[in-house]
Amino acid sequence: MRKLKFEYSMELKFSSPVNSHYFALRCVPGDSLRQKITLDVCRVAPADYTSMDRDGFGNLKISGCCGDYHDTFGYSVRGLAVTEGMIVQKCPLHPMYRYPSKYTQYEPEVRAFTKTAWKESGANSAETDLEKAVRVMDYLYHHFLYIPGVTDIRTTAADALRLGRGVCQDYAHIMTAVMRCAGIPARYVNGLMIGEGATHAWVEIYTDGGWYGLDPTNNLHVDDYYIKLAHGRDYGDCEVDRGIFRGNAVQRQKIYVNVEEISNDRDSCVNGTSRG
Amino acid sequence: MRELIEHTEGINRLMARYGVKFGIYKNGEFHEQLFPFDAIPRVITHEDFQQLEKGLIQRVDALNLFLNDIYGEKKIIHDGVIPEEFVFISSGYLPQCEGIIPPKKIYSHISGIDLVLGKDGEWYILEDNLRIPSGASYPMIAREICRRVSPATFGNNSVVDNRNYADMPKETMEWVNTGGIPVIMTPGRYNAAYFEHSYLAERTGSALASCTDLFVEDNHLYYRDYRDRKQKVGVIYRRISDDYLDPMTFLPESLIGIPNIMDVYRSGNVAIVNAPGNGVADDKGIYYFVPKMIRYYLDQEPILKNAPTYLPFYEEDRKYVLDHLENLVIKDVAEAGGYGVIFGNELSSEKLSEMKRLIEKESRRFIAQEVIDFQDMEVMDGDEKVLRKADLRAFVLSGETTRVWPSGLTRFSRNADSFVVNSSQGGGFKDTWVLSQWKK
Repeated sequence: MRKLKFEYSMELKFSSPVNSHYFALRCVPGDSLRQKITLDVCRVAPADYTSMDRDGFGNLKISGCCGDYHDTFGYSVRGLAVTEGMIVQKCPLHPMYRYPSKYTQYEPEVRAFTKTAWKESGANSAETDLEKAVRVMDYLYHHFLYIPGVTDIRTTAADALRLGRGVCQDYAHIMTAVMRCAGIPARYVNGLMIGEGATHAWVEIYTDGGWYGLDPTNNLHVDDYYIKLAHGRDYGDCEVDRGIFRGNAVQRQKIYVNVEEISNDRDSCVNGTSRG
Repeated sequence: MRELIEHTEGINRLMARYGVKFGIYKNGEFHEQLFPFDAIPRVITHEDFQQLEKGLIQRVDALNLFLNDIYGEKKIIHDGVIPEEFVFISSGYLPQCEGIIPPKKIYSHISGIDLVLGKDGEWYILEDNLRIPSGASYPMIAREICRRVSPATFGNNSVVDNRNYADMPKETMEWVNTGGIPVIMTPGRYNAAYFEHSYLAERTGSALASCTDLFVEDNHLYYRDYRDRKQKVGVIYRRISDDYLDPMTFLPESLIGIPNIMDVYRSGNVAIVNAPGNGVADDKGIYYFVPKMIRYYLDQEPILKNAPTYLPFYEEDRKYVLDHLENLVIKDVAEAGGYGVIFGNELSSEKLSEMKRLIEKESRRFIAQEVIDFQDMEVMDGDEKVLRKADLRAFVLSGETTRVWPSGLTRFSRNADSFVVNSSQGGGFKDTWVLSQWKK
């Protein structure tokens, strides 16, 4: 068990004022067996109103609108997460996580990669689904290059495999597609992680009657240094931030993420390093 | 009757003046064309209609129970009646609708069920349309004009009046209204069924709105009227597809949707007619399972038959389909409006083997049906009576009770060899007479 202090802020600057700005945000972590959340700050501004509800996947979602002209927009979430690592969160499986989705279609690249990864990694001879998944994750980690700026939010698992490189979102999509293609239910996860300056993405696989987190970008089991924001079949289901507005403006986005451990006995902080 | 036929031209002219049109997109351009009317009606006897009515009510009730189940407990999956992949791969299944309970638990308020009459005298269901079925206003306005042109025809034949169609969606909308005004939302002037949207708005006492007249505030939906006053909306009959309904939940590039309307809907603060997510129940692959649904949810035998259908997904069916492809109709489950319908007997041997390969590769994507030997209908071609293929779209309204409109849209193919009757493929239509019990 760990206590993590987290802060996640986003600020948008528009080159000229915009209006009728609608937004849907999944920037607030929810409670689960893995994490107990105490929120200190949750601010969205400017906004005429906001409302919070769960979406069809069970994620917390803030919706709202800013009708008047404005040239900045942002949110800030701060709080404390008490986390548990590497546990299976028991819950019934929704069948949709068994099948390909928009970003995880079984295109030839996905099928081919699944086949080789399964053979080369020794997943074939592994006994449990978890063990298989861990071996495939290790294979993916060593056969896909972490290079930012090559892919974007529209890149699918097959696209990323064709390119051979990408970022956490691509690792997570490939892992999700490969797991499902091999018959292991999987879902895409957005969240925060210690030592990351941005949001991170990883996967959960369904094993032993529940969900278990794996981070293929770092070749790690999802332990108590991770705070989950949202999950879905793929990125498209659980975007952290979606907005539309009227106006002809260029937008610049600044994101600040900080996750620090609060030690139980002392006030010292642990701050790891990783890639996302 | 002869009088009606003699007036065909005049009737069509009047309809053109009323703006009874149908828009189609061809090669990226929008064309509005008249929907040609044929004066010889389809006549359904009182007894035949009673049977149809029972069967349609049973079917739509089962489909509504199925939708409640799929976005809720999923019992029909757990009990192994429908294989889960047919539901969860379907493009009509929207996980964003999981856990939503629509007002009065009605998903399909206005259902358009397409049937054909076989030579054996039996009705066969061709497909269910539970998203935004259009077409009811055409026979409604045709009847109005016909009655004016030839009142005697309707005096001599005991035809059930169908001009009150609009009362049915109106009552349905009132039943599910969460407290606010009723609105019919149209994607606008350049939509295939714009004529119908404006006509129905007028006849149901709803505000005809486009996306710019509607907005979400504090988890409620509002309509901004011409004096810039905002009025709360309690029920919205939207004539745009799910994908475009809410850019914050579905396609982000949609410019014709209402941002955050899905939140309002999830909170129970507005009824959406028909409910988002219905596409999972009128998927051509799910069609095969509707008789099973009727047995499962209602514990009844289906009154109306499906056309004999095979799912290549099942090995046994796949074998049959591949062996008999030249005698079957193949439908791509992802396509609508008569597109993606292939007749095996029209394919060259080369195309046939190409199709077979495709079916083997993507077996989930297709269904195959026997070609039903349907009764041809008489159609006037100039002064001559000719026989053409025709179907019937029956409209079923679900509100406090489920009811069938005693009429329907009979569409016919204008081409002698064609089986495809969809208006988007250039067919025409007829009035549909349901006879009342008392024959004069």
